[in-house]
Amino acid sequence: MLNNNEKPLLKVENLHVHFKTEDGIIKAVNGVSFELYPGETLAIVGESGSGKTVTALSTIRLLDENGWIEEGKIQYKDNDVLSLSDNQLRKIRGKEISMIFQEPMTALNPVFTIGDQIIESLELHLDMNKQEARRKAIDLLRKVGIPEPERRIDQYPHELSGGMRQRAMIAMALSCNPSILIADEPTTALDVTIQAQILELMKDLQKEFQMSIIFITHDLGVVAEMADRAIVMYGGEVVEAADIITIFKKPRHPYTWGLMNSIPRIDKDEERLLSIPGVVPNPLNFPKGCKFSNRCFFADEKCVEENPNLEEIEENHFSRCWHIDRMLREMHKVKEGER
Amino acid sequence: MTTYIIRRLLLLPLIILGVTLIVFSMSQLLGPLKLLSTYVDPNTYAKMSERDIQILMKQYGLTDPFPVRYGKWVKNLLKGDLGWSVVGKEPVLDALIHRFPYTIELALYALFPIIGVGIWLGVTAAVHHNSFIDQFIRIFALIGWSLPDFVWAILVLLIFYIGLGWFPPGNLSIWANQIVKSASFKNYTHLLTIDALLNGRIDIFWDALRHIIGPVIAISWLWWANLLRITRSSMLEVLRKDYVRTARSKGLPEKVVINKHARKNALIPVVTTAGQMVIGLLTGVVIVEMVFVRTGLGSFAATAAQQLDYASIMGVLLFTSLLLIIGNLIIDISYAIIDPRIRLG
Amino acid sequence: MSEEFKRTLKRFFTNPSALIGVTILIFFIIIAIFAPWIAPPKIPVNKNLEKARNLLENYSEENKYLIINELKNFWDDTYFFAEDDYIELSNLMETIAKFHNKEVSSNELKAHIKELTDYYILNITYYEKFDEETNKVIKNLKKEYNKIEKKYKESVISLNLINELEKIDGEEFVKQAIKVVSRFDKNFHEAIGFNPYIMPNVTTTRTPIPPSKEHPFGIVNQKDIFYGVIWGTRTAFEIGLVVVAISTVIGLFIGSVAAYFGGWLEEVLMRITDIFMSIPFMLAAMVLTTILGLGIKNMMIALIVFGWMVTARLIRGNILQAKNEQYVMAAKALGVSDFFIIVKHILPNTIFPVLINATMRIGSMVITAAALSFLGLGAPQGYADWGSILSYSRDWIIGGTNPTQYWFTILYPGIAMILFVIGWNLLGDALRDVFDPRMRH
Repeated sequence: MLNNNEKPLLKVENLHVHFKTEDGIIKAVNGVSFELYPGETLAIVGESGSGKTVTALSTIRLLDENGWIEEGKIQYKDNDVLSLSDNQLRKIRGKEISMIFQEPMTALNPVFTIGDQIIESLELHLDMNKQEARRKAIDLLRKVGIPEPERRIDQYPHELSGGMRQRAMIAMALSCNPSILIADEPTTALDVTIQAQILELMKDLQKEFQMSIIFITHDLGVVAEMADRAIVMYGGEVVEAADIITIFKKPRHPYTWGLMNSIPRIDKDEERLLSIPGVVPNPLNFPKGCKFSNRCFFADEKCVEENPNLEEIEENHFSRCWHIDRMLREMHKVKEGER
Repeated sequence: MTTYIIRRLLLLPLIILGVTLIVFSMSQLLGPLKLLSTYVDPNTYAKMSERDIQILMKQYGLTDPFPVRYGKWVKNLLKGDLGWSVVGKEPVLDALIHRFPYTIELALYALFPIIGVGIWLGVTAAVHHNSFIDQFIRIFALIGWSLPDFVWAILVLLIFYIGLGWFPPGNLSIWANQIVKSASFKNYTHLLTIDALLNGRIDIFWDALRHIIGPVIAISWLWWANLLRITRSSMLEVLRKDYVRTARSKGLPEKVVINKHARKNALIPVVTTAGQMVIGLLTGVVIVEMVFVRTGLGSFAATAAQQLDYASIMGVLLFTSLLLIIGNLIIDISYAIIDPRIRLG
Repeated sequence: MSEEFKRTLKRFFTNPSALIGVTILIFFIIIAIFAPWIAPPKIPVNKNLEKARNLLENYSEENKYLIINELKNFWDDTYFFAEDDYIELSNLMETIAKFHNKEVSSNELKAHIKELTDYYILNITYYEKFDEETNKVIKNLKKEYNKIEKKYKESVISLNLINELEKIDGEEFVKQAIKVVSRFDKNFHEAIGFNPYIMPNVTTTRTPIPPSKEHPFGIVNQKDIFYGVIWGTRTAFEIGLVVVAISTVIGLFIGSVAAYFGGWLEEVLMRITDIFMSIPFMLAAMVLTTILGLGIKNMMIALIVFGWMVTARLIRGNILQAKNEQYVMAAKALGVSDFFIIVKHILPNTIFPVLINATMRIGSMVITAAALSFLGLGAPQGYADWGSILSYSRDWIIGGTNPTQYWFTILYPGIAMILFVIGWNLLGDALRDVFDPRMRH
């Protein structure tokens, strides 16, 4: 899928995002770079607080009022997103790049019908009149698999089930045929069976609408299902980036490896072999060196003192770790043990 | 939703009964002799012998056991007999009915400026969160909220009547009052401004309006403060909601995001405060009516209390409680109507 | 304490409205505490005691008996009837006891009371109200008896003290005599009912007098406004704190009982709360004060009776919500005792909103109380209370011929009142911002 000959659709370079809080300035994103190519699905993986959502929101400058982009460059097609006027930016939001969110209940406005909320976008970006927009909205609802769309269109969000709400949300996001869909943990709040349905739907729609997806998740299982490429984030930094097969077959960062071991495996009886001890520290007191060092099996003094750079360890495979060799040895041992 | 309203309606008689019980119990704290004064002019029994007073008390059932007295009292209530008002020199019910239109009129004129300006200030403050405008509006609210109404009312009178001569106290000027009291002036609604217009007397309309503006200013600050505080915090909360971010992610202009998506949600809790304000205005703005020497339920209650006219104060209390109960019911129902989550839930 | 608590404290003390609010309140607390020094009350002096004190200052042997004489005169004035009164009332108490045992008829008891009222030992109302409110009269008579018994005992002690003094001389005498005089001073104030909260008249003219060196805030209705504003601070604190504290405790009790026991008890308690909430607060307080009779205490009772419902609803809602929180469910599942759950988990999460609400209510309570006083339904005539002074001011400003010349009558008590309320409101606002997680960002 990866096609380096094509021009990237979205290019983020050295992004730094800061937030002002009562307890001080939080550096939520520190020097993140990535590219998104037409038609591909890029997963941004990390625990909560890793900066993955903030990174995604930054691409259309949708940060809360206490946050700002300190440094970096965001290029969408030929537009420098950070220097666009508010008006120009609004023509991209929802039309070119649209978003769906984790909690469809709170992401949909409770006092408007779902029809109102879809039609609003259509009227705004596609200059449709009420009737056209309504017809198109019913069409979209049918496309995302909502039964009886003629009736559902006049219902309020709380009248729909969680899965249906997320479908409506997707219909809304796709209404103007965007070229990028940013999906922020779109299945986390849903039941497992519905999760699968939604993922399936997204894949189908991706083909139909020929769009790129940025898929934000903490769930590597979903990543395996959906993505072509993944970047793994920790503490506001990219710690590993590669195509999806490489990431799963040859993880080269202890954090990625730990995440993978957190996936329950049905085919094995044993308890999880390794998982990541501790929790993500408060963003204000990350370790000085490698941010993962206080939770890492392989960390030594060097890790605590100095943050490694993101190195290209093989073609298109990047990792930020001092001790890949140690990790490989350990992985080998574990594999032996499994046998 | 319907079950909720039905439940409320079923509870309504119970609540009203409870209120009558409380008001009656309060009146019983007076002791028989003072209670007798609510039935009979005290001068008539001032020189009676004790035995005769006892007979008189028995006649009015004041020596009966509590439940019997309560039963009789409720029976009288249902007949509309609330006793004799010393202050009004007429039956209490008539006194209330005669004064209520003045209170309604003041409430009507106060309502729109208070709600309009209050909500506008609240939304403006929230949208400009932490800016200079926000701080200014917050200080405005803090002072309005902390300013005792009687101090502010006196200041309004001092500035706008004594200083500028614009808004005099009272209901009407003397000349206008004479015309209104005359036979040729027809009372259609008992609201002075409206009746004046219906009688084709623009001059009286202006005079009545002039007298009403002062009290409106005096009432407004406190309620502006209340409304804008509620609106502001509700709006701030809503602006942080996911669906506002969704609306922005769709590329909607900030104006639409705020005026359509945020404000409609933010105003739902404001309805309660606005409703309480209407009830507050209707149940009598005691202080402002007293300071501006206006006729109304509030000044009636205060005068009755000052002159120990027990029948009247009990009457006002019952009447206003009834208004409060009905008003709260209306608030709850309208709350449900504007919030689809409750209406359809 | 925990990290979270420290951060909360830090948040509180970096919050500008908290700082301003706390500063204003500390300022008022200092004024309230030091009121007797800032605006010293004019303490009435007994001539005999005054003479005795003067004589003691230039003590010489020949003065000794003059001093004792003054003290004896004081004793005579104050306690001459103490013993007789005591005996008469003791007899009355016996009659009351017999009346309770049905040995004496109600008419006989009434006759006995009449006898005492005829001698001016008792107030005539005891006789007049006897039929109407027998039990209440008897209760009050017992109080009266206790008072007179106390007075009688004090008279015996005082007389002993004077006799003791006669036996000693020199340094020892002076030392003891000073003690005795100050004790008598106190007795004297008690006997004439001296109360520093009553503003003394300082002039004879009724028209307000503008601020001067002696009376920095001016004079209205013969009262020194400065004195009233300073001592009124105490009244404001007393009303605000007592009313809010008691009504909050009542509300806490009713709300938590309802939430804890649930079922029909909850239903009944919450419907009672609804009923009390269905009566307009200001009018209800006004009516109840009128019925109970004017005065600070009755006004406070009225404000408490109709002031507890918000707390009850708040605490009930919070407890019900907390009960369903996951950590509480988890603790229950682990078999932690109910008591421990309530103390450890439910209380901290429910009590803070109640305390914040209470702080915010103090300001509006003080305003309501002042409004009642302003209408002449609260504090008695001459009581040091901001609302009362403002009501004097109204008469001059609205009724006066040239109202602007009386600006000082409204300015100083008005500013005191507004600042006081702003202080509490700022504090309440800040507490809410600091503790309410929804308000954090």
